[in-house]
Amino acid sequence: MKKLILLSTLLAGTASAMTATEIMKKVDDQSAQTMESSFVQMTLTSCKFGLSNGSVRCVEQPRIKTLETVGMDLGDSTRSLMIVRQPASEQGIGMLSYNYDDTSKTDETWLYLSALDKVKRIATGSGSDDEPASIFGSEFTTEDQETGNIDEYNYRIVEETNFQGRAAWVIESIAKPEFAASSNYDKELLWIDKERFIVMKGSAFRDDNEVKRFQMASIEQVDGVWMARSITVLNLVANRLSNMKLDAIAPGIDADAQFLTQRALTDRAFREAGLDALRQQAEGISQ
Amino acid sequence: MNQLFIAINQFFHLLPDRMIKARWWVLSITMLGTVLMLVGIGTRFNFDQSFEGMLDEGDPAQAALDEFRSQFGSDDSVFIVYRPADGDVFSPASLATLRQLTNKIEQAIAAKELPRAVDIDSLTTIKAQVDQDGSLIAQDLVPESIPADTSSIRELANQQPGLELAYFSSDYQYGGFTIKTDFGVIPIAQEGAAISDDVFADFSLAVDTSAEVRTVEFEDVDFLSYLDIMAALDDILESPEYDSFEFYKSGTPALTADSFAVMNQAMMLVGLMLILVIALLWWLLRTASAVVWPILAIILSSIWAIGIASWAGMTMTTMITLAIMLILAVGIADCVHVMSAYLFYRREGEPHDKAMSHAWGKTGLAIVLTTLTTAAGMLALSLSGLSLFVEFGLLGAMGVTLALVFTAFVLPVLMHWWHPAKSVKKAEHGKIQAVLDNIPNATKKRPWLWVAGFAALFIASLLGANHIKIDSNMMALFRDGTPIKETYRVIDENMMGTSNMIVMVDTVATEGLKDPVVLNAMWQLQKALEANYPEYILRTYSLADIVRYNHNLLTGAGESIPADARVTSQLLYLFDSSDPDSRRQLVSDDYSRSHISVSMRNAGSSEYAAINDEINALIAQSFAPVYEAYPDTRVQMTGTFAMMMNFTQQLSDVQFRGITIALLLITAVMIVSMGSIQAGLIGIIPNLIPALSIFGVAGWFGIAMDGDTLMIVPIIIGIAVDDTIHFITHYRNLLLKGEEEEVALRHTIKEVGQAVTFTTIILGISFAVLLGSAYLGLAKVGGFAAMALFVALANDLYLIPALIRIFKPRFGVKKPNGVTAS
Repeated sequence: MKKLILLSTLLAGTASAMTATEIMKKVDDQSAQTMESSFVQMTLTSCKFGLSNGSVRCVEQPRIKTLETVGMDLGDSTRSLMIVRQPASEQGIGMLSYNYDDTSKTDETWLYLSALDKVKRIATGSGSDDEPASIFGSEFTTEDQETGNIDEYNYRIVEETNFQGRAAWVIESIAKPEFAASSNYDKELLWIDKERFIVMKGSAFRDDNEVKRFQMASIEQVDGVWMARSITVLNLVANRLSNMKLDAIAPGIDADAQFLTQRALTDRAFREAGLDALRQQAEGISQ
Repeated sequence: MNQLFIAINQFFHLLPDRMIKARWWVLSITMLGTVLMLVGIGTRFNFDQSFEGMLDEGDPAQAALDEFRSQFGSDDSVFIVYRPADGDVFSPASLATLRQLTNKIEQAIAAKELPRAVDIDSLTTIKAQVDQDGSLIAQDLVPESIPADTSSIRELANQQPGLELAYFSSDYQYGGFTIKTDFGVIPIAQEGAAISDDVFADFSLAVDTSAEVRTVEFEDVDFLSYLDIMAALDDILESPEYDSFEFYKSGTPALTADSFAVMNQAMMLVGLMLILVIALLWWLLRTASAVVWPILAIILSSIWAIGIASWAGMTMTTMITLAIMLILAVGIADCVHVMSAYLFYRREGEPHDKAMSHAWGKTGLAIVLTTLTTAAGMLALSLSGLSLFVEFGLLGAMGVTLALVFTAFVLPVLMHWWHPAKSVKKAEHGKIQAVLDNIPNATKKRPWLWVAGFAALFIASLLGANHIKIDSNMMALFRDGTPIKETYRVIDENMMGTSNMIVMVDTVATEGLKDPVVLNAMWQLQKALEANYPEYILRTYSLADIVRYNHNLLTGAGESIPADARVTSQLLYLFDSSDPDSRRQLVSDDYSRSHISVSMRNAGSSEYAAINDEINALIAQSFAPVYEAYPDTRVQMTGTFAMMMNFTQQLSDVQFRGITIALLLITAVMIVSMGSIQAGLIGIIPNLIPALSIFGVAGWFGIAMDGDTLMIVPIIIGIAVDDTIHFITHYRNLLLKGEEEEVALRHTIKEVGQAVTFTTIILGISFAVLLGSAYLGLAKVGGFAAMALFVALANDLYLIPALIRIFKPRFGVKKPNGVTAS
């Protein structure tokens, strides 16, 4: 018992000596780690929200998208496949991406529109590609999900506090002037769990007005990594919310690189067979 | 009534002495109040020249626009058209300059040096969708390294939907870029209304339609921010590196900045008017203190009126200039009458204090009555509800009341410190007096002839008024060659036009906009609009264009809307994934609401009115299948087109109603103050002629009346009635003193006639100065006002004496033998 106390004190001591940037680097590394070689089933729900008895509720029938994604790390590149399962009108839409570590090689993306039975390679040019874009038309943007961009922001610890019963840092994040144009926000405040190095809450500001609120829930350890299984974003200007729920996440799956090819987009039987196999694997390890 | 009038006369008689006794209080209150008002003007003055600013809050087009903004974001952009010196926006040099300019503006936005700007869209920021060897490529339209031969860029730009006329003209001589802003969509931080962390305590995605949706209020647009962004933008555009581009700026911020510059010019003209007034007053009164103090009182009245309005949070338009003119006009009239009387008594040898008391006692009642009638008329206008009229009416009513307060209460104190020396020389105005001397005889010989002459003028004006055209066209208010007019001409002739119509489509059904039936209806309407009104409509754009373009891009089957809802849905998925920002500007997240943007050339509201019903019929026809599939569908028009239509309609209705109420109120005051219905009518009917003559001239000469010009009518009625009140009050006072009617009339024409003539000369010439304004709205006002004032003078000098001779009204004064005349 005494040892445990000593250990946590030591940890706390280490933690408090960290700079804001170091804390964010650790948070970022952890969140990047979760998406490698995994099979994820997720539900993305969006609706207009209101408050009922002090709690957030949808005031209209929410739009629900369910997706399955498979990620693979091939050493020199990563591959990912995303298939839309719901709604019916978008069922079967797929997107396959190859991201190369070698920056001289152009990343590749193929989009498959099932209703047209057409696969198109989507290439982007240079320029303002880094502008934040909505994720599947939800309130989440690519900026909210990005990892590996720690160098683009200035961080500072605003205060050390207790959030929902856990010791936390409140860290302010402001895009560096040269990257400000590619940020939707003037400033973000992030509540970081001191022990688990995970964001528990976030507030995004524009002109000193809070425009978005992020809330993480169902924080669990998956394959040794802390992650939030449910993330909700409230757009406080549009009164719209989106919730991203990881229904199943299976890290460390064994996927065949041959599965993550264009055939998985166009050949329905091939795709479903591959996904079935992954689902079965996931059932065994999913947490 | 006579008792009341006598009491008022008595009150004013004693007033100067009382005020002088309390002079330090009066002075302190005046100074403190003025400082407070100046602070209000400095910190709270708000100016809005946009159409929205002029429309009623509850206007359906305005409500639709608010809905549009909350759904699709700010539409308050700055649209800049440029013309490269080499005449080709796609030349390598032009593209390089544009890229450099775009980068510079992007940097300025990031560094917050362009207030409220959030993004820039130009040819160099556009992603073009191309199908290359089976790959769908979203590539920069203008590549990083601009090739020597740019014909392929031009070709690609031509293939993309919605670029022509928005980014380049059909002959490639002009280009355009848009600076998007967050005007009108910045939420107000609401104290205590912040979302607490507890809202997630019981989080679920269950639907509860009774849940309360937080009201998000948006900051009002501060017009100074418009000026700020335009000034910062000018700094960039005027850099020598962009000398090869000629710029034309449009959009609400640019229009506001230009209007503000015009208003400043108008204010300079008002200043010039003031100098002229001072010079003319000097010519009339020949004593400095009797000119300086009354002018100061009028200036203070204007400052206080604008100050109170600023503190009250009123938003002002160029109407403020007209309101100041009204205050000036009524104030000058008061001043001329009071000072004429004061100087008259001084010349008679009375000391200053006594002359003041006599002058105030003699003119106080008339000034109260003129203020009452004018303020009542102005308030009647403000009751109309149309914000433009409310602003003018309230400012006017406040201003004339303040002019009375300052003239009656503060002027005696000011005059106490500095007043004319003992000997006051009489100014000689022989020619004017000779004309005035001739009037009694002229009207005595043939009074009916004079009445018939004025009746003919009345009828001619009435007939002319029949042809009057009420037309609101912002551009028609600016002279040819002014930068703002040139900008509108260039954009209307070469680019996507300066006016717009937004057709809002709400299917009230989630995913409704993905239905080919709805998309087809939108496309049919677009086609019909473009085919039927090529002279007005330059371009239409909607979600249907995206679906048609993507369909062709993916299938090569030509641009069409597929019949299968799954296909349209997935084509829109592609759009959503590739360009979510553009998607959000076109269709709501749940795909229930969207809009068709129709770019139009600027035209007058009367031209728009001619096609309005046809367009509504086209909408009904095109959307018939949609109403069947989605019976709750709402299709509404907003944008400049709809707002201008509604504004003009409101203007005609309100103006008619406002003037009618104003006239009724003024008539009521006249009847009460003149002592009989007949006398009241004799007072009011002649005063209809000057106002009507404006309509007559406008009708006969085809001069369109707009919001500004129409507003001159109540001003003219106000001034004309004021002079008549002074005339009749004087005549009546003489009757009360037991003078014979003929003697009283001759005396009135000689004394009041001179003051009325001077007032008219001063105001007529001063208003005529406005003819030099670059803003035709003001120039027309100046011209019409000058004309109407002289018509009003002719009325007072010839028609009223003729009517008095014919009808012999006694204005409630009993004849010495005890019989009250008709």
